[in-house]
Amino acid sequence: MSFLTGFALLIGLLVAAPVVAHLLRRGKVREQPFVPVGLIPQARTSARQKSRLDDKVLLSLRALLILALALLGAAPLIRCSRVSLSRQSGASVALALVVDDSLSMRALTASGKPRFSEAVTGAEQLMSESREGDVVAIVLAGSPARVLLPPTTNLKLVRETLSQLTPSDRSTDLETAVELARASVKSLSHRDKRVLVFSDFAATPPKEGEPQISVPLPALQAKVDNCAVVSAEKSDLFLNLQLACTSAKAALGRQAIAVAAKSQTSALNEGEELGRVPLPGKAGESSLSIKLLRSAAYVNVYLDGSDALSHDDSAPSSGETGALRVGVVGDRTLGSVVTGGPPILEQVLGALEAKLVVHPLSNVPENDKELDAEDLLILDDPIAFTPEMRAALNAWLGRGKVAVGLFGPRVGNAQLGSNFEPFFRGGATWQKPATSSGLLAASLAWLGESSTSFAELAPQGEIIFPLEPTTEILGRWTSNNAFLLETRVGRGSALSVGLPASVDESDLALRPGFVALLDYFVDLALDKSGPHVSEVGHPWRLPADANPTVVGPSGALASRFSSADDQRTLVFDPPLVGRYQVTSDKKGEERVATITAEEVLNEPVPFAAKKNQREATQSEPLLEISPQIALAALVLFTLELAFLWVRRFRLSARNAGATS
Amino acid sequence: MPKDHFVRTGLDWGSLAPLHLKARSIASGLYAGMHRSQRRGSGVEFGGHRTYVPGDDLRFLDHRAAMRHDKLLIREFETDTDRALRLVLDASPSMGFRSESARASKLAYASVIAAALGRVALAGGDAVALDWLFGAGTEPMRARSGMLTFEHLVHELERANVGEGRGLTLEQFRRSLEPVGLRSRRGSIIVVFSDLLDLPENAAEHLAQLGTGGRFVVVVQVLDPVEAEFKLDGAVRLKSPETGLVVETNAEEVRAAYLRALEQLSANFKQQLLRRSGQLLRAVTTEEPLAVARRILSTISGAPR
Repeated sequence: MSFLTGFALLIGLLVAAPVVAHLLRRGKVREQPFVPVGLIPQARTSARQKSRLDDKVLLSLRALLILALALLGAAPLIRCSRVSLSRQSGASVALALVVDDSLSMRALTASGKPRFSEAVTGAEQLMSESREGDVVAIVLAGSPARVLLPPTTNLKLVRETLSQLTPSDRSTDLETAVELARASVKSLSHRDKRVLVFSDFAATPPKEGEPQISVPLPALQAKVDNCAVVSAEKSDLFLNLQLACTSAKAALGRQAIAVAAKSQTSALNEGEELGRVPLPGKAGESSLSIKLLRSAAYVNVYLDGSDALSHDDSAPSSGETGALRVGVVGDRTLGSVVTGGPPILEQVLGALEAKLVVHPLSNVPENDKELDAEDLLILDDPIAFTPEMRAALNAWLGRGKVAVGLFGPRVGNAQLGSNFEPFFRGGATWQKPATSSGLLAASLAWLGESSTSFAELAPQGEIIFPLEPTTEILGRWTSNNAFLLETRVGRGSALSVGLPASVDESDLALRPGFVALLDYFVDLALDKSGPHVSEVGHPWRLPADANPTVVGPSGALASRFSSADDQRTLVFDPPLVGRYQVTSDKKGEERVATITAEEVLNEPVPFAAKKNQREATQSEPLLEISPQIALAALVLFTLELAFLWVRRFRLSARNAGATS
Repeated sequence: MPKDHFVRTGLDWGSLAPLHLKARSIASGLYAGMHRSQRRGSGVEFGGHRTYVPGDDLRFLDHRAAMRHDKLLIREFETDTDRALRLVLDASPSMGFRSESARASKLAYASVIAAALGRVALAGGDAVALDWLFGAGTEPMRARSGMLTFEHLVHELERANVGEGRGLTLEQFRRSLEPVGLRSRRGSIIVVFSDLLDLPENAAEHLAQLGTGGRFVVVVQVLDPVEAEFKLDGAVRLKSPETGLVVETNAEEVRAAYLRALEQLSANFKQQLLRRSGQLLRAVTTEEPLAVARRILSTISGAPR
């Protein structure tokens, strides 16, 4: 407290002045000569009583008035707990508000309110100090990070948007959100640009960059005790659980309970109990199995007891088909490595993070019904397809599937009546490379850093693909010949790769980029076929002409086009954990959205903002409340005048009546 | 006398000093409304002729004039009507009171008006007398006429002071009034200046009795503005200088009751005076003395002859 504050508050002690004056006045009534005393009714008691009653009201008013004046003197120096925006020289600012709407923001803070509510309240308090000329953008940090509101000067719209924000069960993508926020204000002409992050920072911390980020509510970074059901997979009469706990304390004395739900939309913690098992009292990830008393159509699981985050204490179960089904067709002798084990292609698939079920196939099925058992088909150095195979592949791909052909020396050994449609039309040739010894990294830039790992492949041969106008080239050799092609077949895609996985032909499969390439194929298959089990926030892409609808725990989901250019695909983002009924082409299927263990286990990382960024916002700012106090003082003064006037008016009226 | 007593040892003349000049000034403003009180009738000094009407005393028939004018004329003579003005001033302690807003103490205020009335009366040829109720250093002045009388009147008024003590008893009051009644002849006008406060009971009746025997009584109630309007606030402790009575009260609360009681007191005096054809006037010491003097003169003009 500064000297000025103390001095101003000392003035408040003057509140005793009216009391002292009142006591002195009461103690010694002024005496004065008055001749016609005999005409005055002697009413000492009532007079004193009346005087005391009147004075009490006046005394209170005057004491309050003095207190108000004292506060008025100290008012600009009073701190209040709220977020405020400090300006440099009063200039307009460009703000990018990053609001974390991930699952971890649902955790309760010490005040009993969810972190998300605190964050939105803080953002709204900040916006209450915005003024004309300020530009504000809103970015959400729940995965996938997205720009909710592009930079706008319509502050009313910003406030409305903030008031309509809702939390979700998404994982956190703070790094991308901050980059999006920086990009959104980068091109603005304001000198003062800021990125304000309302998050618990329970994620990969954002990178350094300009503008640097400010953290108005560091209190959100407090750690919490929480246990969550990450996933539940039903296999016959067993329910296999994956759990995550931030601390042993959160798991202590709790049980996982499996229940049979009456319907798809039933609450996850309601229904007939099918079994229960205690939680292992340890922090981190753990797996459990519950033996079910009987089979049921809809089995859910929930944790009893309570913790800081109740929204992740329950989950629906998914079947075994939750994983992406990948069929691999290839000669296992050619695809093997000298170190043993499965073919190298299957080994690489196993290294991917995505949940896959690999089905080795001896050949391409000739019936599309058989192909329906796969979501992704990978053909390693295949021989040409018979007409039955081509028909089956075309029908299967048309339903939104993905096939990948890793073509090699056998591409030139096509038998009569056989070819490689639908991958490409006509004959391809396998020839010795002339000059090229690797892939053109620039042509595979969409793979990211991995694209540079394909230099000096030293292949034994190179395929010359026949090209058509409808074929899209996704990668090239350094000789500029096509290495990777994509041919659209109905809703599906057929991708042709110019090298097989076999290490005898090249070391393609040994390069880091090959993993990234297969990951791309898997993601494409997930996008097209739609995973039965996916993370919350993972987009489900469905053909627009199939009139798709998705109904989940929060009702029907809104859709958006994949992009402004691609209006053939609708995208649905499931925001909550639960079962979703997906209908496309009048065919329904059930999908399950789950959380990630990382979202539960990632602890808040205290983010130390630089000094100048701390000053950009203040969580306990000096609040200007002088106008309010001045108004209160004015009201008190008016009340005092009114009180005196009313009293005088009453007496005048009484005297007038007496005189008349 | 207590130290905090409101009555000053010397009379507080306020803005009305000096009495001599102030009274002259007020009187000069009153001449416009003055009239001679002399009347024609029987007497020793010739006052003119008039036409004879049956019933006239034939002794006053002027034969010479009848012959000259060829009609009967009656000789008339002027005579004094003894319309002497008797000024009675209350010099009890309460008359020494003066509040901040008043022009002067009540007695000083009454003295100025009395002097002005005396000068006007003397100018009209009437005799003027002065009497006191209570007071210190006060001397009565017998009925006299002539302009020197004015100087005498002013001298007596100037040297007077309010009395000390606790006011008059009824007996003292009655004895004070007795010489006034005895000295006033039929037809004389008695003007009494008093605040009428703290007078003994039945004082009104005794005052009214001055109006018997062909005399006309005008009582001027001289009040200080504090007494007339009771403009006090909050809790007050009021002490009577005459009786020593103390009352502690809330001014706002008792104002109405006090004003009612004051009106009742005045009404009582007025009622008693009216029985004897007397009049009661009220003068507040904030009023212009000239206006008060005019009101008194106007009242006197309406007196029965």
